[in-house]
Amino acid sequence: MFTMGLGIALLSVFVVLAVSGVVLMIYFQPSVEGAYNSIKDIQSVVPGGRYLRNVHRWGAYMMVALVFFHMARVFFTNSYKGPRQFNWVVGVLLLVLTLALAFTGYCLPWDQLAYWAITIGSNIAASPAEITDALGITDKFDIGGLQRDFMLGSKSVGGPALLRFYWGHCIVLPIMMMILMVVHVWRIRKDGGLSRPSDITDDELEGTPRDELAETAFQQKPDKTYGLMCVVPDKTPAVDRGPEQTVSTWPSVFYREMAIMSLVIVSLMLLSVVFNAPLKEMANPAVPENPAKAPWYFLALQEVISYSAFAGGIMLPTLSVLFLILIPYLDREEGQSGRSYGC
Amino acid sequence: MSHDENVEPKCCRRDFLGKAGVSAFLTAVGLAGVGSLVGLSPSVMPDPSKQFKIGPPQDFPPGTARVFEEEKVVVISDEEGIYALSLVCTHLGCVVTLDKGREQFDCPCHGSKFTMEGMVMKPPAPRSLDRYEVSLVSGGQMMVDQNVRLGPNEKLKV
Repeated sequence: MFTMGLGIALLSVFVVLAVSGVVLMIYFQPSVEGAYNSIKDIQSVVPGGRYLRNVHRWGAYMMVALVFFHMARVFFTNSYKGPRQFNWVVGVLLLVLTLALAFTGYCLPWDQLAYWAITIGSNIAASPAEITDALGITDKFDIGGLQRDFMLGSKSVGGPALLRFYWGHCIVLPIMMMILMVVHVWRIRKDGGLSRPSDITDDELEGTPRDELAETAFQQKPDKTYGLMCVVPDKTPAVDRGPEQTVSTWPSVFYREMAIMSLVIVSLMLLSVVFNAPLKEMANPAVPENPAKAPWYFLALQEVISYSAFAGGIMLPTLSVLFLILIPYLDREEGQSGRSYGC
Repeated sequence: MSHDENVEPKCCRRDFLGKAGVSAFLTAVGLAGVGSLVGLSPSVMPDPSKQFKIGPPQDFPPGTARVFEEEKVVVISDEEGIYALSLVCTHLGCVVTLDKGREQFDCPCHGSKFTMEGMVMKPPAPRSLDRYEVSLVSGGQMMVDQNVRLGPNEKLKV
């Protein structure tokens, strides 16, 4: 009720993306010659392929949108404050990984958008040269060029770059994501369960079934340490507090989470039946896509990039992520967590 | 020697061994990680050759501007000589197009403009178009070498 179920919705979309992605991998060929045609095959030859690709693409969009909503919810309900600072940091890292997955996935079909997105991405990676050029040290210390070589595996955009994006999208980033997601969910438990205010009134709980199990399952003040506690201060899941109006995970929370999961999956399926995922013409290195439009979640950065590749592509995103990470440590204001401002 | 049971020793052998083990593990993983990064940068890049022949100088009378689409290079000839410019915008790598009427290069992505000498007329491009070496090779042909970058106004005098 106080979390709006956005976390479980995200987990649901991630599961859908993982499953549909694994199936798409059967048909996708990560080569310059094969990529575009294999996507065409998935769209028109593979039974159910078009639908599967739609699910994967709209799922990706939905995941990015839900991450933003989830962060906004946590922010506006003060839930990033102690003891949840660390979990907020993990969340910010998950945001970065989500965007990285979205970008690498967007580049795989090797259509015009993909090719020019990789081209622009690699030039952003090389853009620290704007600084090293100004300092006159690019010959000795070309960090930008090194980053571009890491990204492309070559001096120009081609097969090695596509393979690296594929490898990142299907292996490295999902593994990192899964590890961080496990930590993220584990920390919810360690930090005292789902975020909620400490003064929930009976009115607010109207309609919520009373959970008799919770009355007996928890001690008012647990006095023992649970496992995996070594890095967490104090003894109880909710430090110094008893389980006021606690709802037990099984079956109460679990049923609700399953309901949200079903809702997310059904809306994603409907979306994929009605709308087709976009695909441009085959990549043409001689003719830039015009207008080369980034997906909606990068539009703001694209606008800044049009003035300076370094400012919009590296400086601004790095500073934003640092700022997000530091929010709980900079904010010294005491506040009730679990409620949004003013209500 | 009296021993107060409430005061734990600051360090003990077990602590030391545990910490040493964790540090050794982290060091090993860290070094292996950094070592693996080296593999991401191949020692030989898989790109096609950066040198290509463009024909004899008489094919390029003053006033010529011929685009080599695959190599993304334009070879221009004027009264002072022959020179080759990259068609890759120095901003974000889009391919600029030659506007012969206005005698300039336009980038379709973010609107940068360059003169026929490759100089920036309109940002956001941070620097002028790359200028490559043009040289005469055996057989009377000219060759463009994209590995060698020249300074502004350097041209092949024929």
